[in-house]
Amino acid sequence: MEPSKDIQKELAETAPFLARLSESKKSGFQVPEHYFEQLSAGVLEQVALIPKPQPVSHATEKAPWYSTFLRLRWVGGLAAILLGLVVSMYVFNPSTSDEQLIEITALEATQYLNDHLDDFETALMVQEGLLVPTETLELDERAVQQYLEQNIDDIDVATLESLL
Amino acid sequence: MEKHSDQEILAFIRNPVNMEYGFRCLLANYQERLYWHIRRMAIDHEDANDILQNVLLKVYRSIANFRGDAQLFTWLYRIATNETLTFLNKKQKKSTVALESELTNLEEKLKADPYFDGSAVQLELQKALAQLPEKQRLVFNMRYFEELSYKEISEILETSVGALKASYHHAAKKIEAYVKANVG
Repeated sequence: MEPSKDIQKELAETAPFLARLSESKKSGFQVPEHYFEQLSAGVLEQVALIPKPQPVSHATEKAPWYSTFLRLRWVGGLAAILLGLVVSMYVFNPSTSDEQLIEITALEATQYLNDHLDDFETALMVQEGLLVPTETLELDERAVQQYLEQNIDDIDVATLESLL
Repeated sequence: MEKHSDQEILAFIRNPVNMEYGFRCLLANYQERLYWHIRRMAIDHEDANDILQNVLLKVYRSIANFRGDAQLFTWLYRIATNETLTFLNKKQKKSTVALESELTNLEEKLKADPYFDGSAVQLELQKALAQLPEKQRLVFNMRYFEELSYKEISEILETSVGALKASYHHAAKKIEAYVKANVG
């Protein structure tokens, strides 16, 4: 609070007549006798009926150094449970992929391959022995041209279109 | 009751065991100042009493969540100011009386008020204050009667110090002119 002297000086500069009316500083208002004591008692009676408000954490209060670890404790716990589940799956159910494949019949495998034939690369299938490569017919362009000239009259339009 | 600092009061209030004691300390420290702050705006004691009770209940309900960004005093004054302005605006909306009639009413009301024993000068001052815009009246009261610094008023009303100085200057000039013209 500023000293009242400064406030009075400021007022004297702005409103000198008002500044001289020292009695005007008192507003003239009164309160009933013992008002403030009764007010306190009345307010405390009313607040006793209100459920106690729960304080929340305050940003200005410095958290202890270990609080970060405490906050992360549940995350660590969850990670440990997940790790335990994964490990137990391997320990108590040690089936390998070969053993799992044995359970698939040859018929099922063939059926699967037929259904998904387009999903496999030819080179890969050859490599795995699933497909036997055949020799590709190398056509001589000049020989084809000569054959076509010699037999052009014997070939109908439809056959020609299919060859081209 | 021993007088405690704001920090001590807040520490009591934040501890559920001492909450009621903390609130008692808060009342002891602030209820009177808040009452006069409200009364100067509301004029009527019964109105001021109603407003103050609402303010204190509101404070009780929300003090546990008071973050301490502002001073306790500033926070309390802000709640009291808002509650008073809301009350006065509601009252103003219900009233259909013109300003001139309002001033006559105010004079009659104050003369009949058992809780007003002001002199002629004090009565004229109240009439002069009643003619000011709400914000100017508030600033004038806080500076003239409560002797708050501009910084404190600025924090309570969330208005710049420059704007407050201008408000106070205009208010003081208007009041001076009115009182000069009406006080022998």
